[in-house]
Amino acid sequence: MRTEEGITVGIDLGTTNSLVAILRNGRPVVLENSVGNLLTPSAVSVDEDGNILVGGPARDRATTHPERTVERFKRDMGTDKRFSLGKKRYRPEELSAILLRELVEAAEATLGEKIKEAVVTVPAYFGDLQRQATRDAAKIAGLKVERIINEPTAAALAYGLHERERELQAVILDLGGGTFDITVLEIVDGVVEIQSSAGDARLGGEDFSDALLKWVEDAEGLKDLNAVDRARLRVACDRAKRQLGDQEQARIAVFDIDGRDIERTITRANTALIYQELLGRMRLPILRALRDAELQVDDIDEVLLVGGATRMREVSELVTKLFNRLPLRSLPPDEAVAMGAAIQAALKIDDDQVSDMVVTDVAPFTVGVSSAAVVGTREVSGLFSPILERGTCIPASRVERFFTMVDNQKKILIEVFQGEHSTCKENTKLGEYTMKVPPKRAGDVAVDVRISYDLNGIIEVEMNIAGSSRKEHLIIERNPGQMSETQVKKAREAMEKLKFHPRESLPNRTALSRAEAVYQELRGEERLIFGALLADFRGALETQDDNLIQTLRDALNNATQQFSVRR
Amino acid sequence: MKISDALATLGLESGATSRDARKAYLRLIKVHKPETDPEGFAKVREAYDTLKKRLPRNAVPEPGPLSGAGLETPVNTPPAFEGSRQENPVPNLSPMDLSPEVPTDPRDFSKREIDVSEPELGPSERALDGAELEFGSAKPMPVQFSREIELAWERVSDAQYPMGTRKELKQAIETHPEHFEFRSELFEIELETGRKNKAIDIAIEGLRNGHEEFVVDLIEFAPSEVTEEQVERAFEQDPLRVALAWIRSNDQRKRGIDVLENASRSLKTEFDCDRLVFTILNAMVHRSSRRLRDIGKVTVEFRKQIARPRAGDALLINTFAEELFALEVPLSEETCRVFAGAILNGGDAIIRTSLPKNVRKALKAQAPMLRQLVIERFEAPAPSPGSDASSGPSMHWGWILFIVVSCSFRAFRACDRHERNQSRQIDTQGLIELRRELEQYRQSQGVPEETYFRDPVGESPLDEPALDEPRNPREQALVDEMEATFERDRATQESLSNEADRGALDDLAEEFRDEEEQDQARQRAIERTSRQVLEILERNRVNVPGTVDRR
Repeated sequence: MRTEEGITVGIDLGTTNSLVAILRNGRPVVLENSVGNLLTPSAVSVDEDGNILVGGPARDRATTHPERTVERFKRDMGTDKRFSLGKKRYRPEELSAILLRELVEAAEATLGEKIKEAVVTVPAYFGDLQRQATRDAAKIAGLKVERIINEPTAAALAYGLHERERELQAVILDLGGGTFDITVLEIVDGVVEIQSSAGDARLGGEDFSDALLKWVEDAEGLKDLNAVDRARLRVACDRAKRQLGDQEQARIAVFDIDGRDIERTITRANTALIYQELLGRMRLPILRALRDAELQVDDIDEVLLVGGATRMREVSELVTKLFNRLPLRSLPPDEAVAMGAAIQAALKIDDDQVSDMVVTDVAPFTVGVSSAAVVGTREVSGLFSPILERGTCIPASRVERFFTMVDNQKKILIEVFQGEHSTCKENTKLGEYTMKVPPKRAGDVAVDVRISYDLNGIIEVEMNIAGSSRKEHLIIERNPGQMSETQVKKAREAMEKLKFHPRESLPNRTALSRAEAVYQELRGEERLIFGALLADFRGALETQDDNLIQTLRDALNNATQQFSVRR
Repeated sequence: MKISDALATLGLESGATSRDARKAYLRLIKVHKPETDPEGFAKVREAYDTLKKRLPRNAVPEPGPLSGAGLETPVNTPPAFEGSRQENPVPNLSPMDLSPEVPTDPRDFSKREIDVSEPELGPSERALDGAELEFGSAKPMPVQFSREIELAWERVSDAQYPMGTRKELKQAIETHPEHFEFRSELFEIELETGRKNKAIDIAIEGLRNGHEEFVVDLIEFAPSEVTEEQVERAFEQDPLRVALAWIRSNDQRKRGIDVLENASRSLKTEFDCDRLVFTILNAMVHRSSRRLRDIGKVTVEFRKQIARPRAGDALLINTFAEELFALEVPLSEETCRVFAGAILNGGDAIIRTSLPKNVRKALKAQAPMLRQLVIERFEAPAPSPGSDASSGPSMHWGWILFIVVSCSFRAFRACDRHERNQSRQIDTQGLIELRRELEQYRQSQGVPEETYFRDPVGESPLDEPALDEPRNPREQALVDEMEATFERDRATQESLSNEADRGALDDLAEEFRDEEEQDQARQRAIERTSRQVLEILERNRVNVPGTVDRR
């Protein structure tokens, strides 16, 4: 996967966790990060000295210092929301950039080589705004990212690479931390053809944890918890949710929330009700994807589950019932998307390892222009005229013809929108262009508007007056509400100046933050013992004696694991 | 894109089918890959998209020398062209025979039995005592058709493009309203594609045109549309079919089961037994009930008493039926339909079921071979009349065929579970051998590999560690986790197959199905409405943006 400039990798930038993968010997391999894990939590935190922490150490601080930690910022990509970390405020693009930088540097350390380019995944339901934001994040991080692919497509690639000898019709359901995506694909003759995709951008494993949290809060009559208590309770709910994947019941037990000790047992019978609304929301995207692909449930040969949240038994049961078959889990649920990104990276540079595979993807949303119509004597404006429909195989280019509305009209305003609603008001504006037209009678001037959507998701608009050779171009790059070029440049420079926590002490940092989180939850004797060990370690850090530090760190990590499992 | 341009882009001639277009597309995109040649790819894809829906599915044969005379040819005269009579003397040119893919259903059961496939059944066995088990008398088959209708019929028999075939069928119905087969086929298509109301309309119209065959369908789907006399007449002709319709409509379920029970008491011949068992199995597809199972058992018992020991379908069905009836777990719809169709109809025409498309295709391709294989197996250790068939491997062949025919891992597990319940060792060795034999046979026939035989569980990327490397602990942990997950899923499936376990999820799944149906109804309504809207716009039109000129 080498070009002249350096290595190309695939990056799964997830809501909860992120991964980096590369194609090696024909198989996708996920790379370890600096603490030896495959998954890097998508969290950013700032410590008291103003150093930036990313990943595990940051995630641990979510409970201890929630006001200096941000998680799940992917959901706000494409918006103007600002997050405060300590004294500074950051946009979601900047946080993603910080995360990207950390991922890339850790991967480079593992590989021993420079990474020049990456393919990054986004949920299929990300609109153009959010994709541009992701591109900006990469720019800010100094990483070349030309190709953005949909997460379910990536999962399809990981599945397709393995199954490309077969001929089948499959559905991939990806329930990750924050989003739910479904892709319908057909594999035939070594060609992986994505036929349709749909999803819910705000439905993920985290929502299930939130639902549990709400249930506990309601059941215990807890109102207006402070941030720390809430965070701790949520961690416990999260843990219980995971335990229910294996067991029939789980305990949610947290000390000293709002002055009380909370202890609740939750069973599968409880969750069936608690999750019902969320599970119900999964239906609509499935119906839409099947309809777009012009297929029915009975036409599907295989259903594949991907994404950590599919470990929940309720989800797999629902899927089994909806599709009348047992879903497959032949891909590691957390790694499938990253693996697919690695395959796409190889495909993009025409690597030999994937020379026998061809992949086709579809446009994730409809692109069109605003138009008006005259019905009888009334004029209706603000209508949305689709030109390139969602589900069109890309790269694609489609054209529609429009007419002037008024006699001697001098200009025509072409506003480009993305979305599925019938009125432009409810869709997302991508850009506009004003074009001069020769004055003639209404309806005598025709303008052909051609929309092209390439593999990189760049939308190009070409306008041409029918009968004349004049063509106007518009490449949709910057959307209103997005960062401008200058802003991106400034943010990039600011990134360079950010203080990241020194890499060498990352294992120490991780050990400390994890231990701190556990320490908070302990009481009595246990707390004393553990506290002593913690203090020992801090002392060792002062001595700068590497051997001592290592020994005590191992001991601390062991103890951390013991004490947190016991709960 | 114009069709001529599209054809040129794909390098096709004007008589090409959509299948040819697909093949050309798949071939060309390996040359014009989207990554390396985006413009070339876009062009190829657009050509393919344009042709996908516009080209016919199957090749349209060259029209014969007198094709123009087709439509006026009265139905019962021999065809106008010599060639067909001399070279292809087809004695019974019924539409069903023109295409082997046409499904059979109970309605056609009578025709099939009369056909040549089972020469051993002597006339005495077909002549039934008592009016009860008399066959339904279908209208006499029209002997010849005009060329146009033949061609239309060929295109009709493949239901992959219902819109196209629907048009053909509708035309055929208009020009030849007396032919029951066209209506029947259209009825099937509408039913299969979920347009139940349309199907009912066709049945009602058919009935009005004198096709009493539709009475039974209407009993099942719209009982209010048939009169008591019609029901009685249909019942006289074929009580089992009517009983099945009652059971399936859930309307008069008990009455239907009563009829079956009576029939089981008045069995006379093997043939009656087989037919009754088939009906029961078809009924069990909807909801398995103890009563039905008991009736089935009784029938099979009786069948064994009067049976001559003989290999072939009749014995097969009894072996199967016995196994099935002994199972406590209600069987899935597909399983019942599959084996019932496969066995009873010699495997040549399998009832259109909810099997995945590729399995169906593969089964159809291999059914004759499968049947042969099973017959051989059954003939090999000649079972003596009174022998206890539970000893020796022959008993397991029923199971093995069951697995092979239903081609599912789930079936394997169901057998496994059943075998364990009976504390018998499953003949896995035999199973492995059979698979191997099938592979060899398939290869020797040059049939392309259908990979549905693969066990989905064992085929994960993690199951193939590189040759020299032992699996590292992380991978091992992951494999362990996945196996644990599979075990959990298996437990889930077991709990799901227990009907009593209805929970919130069942409601969701049902709602989903309803929504799917509603969705389709909505789609049809939308299609209708948008057509109306366009008409209105056309009439009022001054400027309609975005119309015309779809390049």
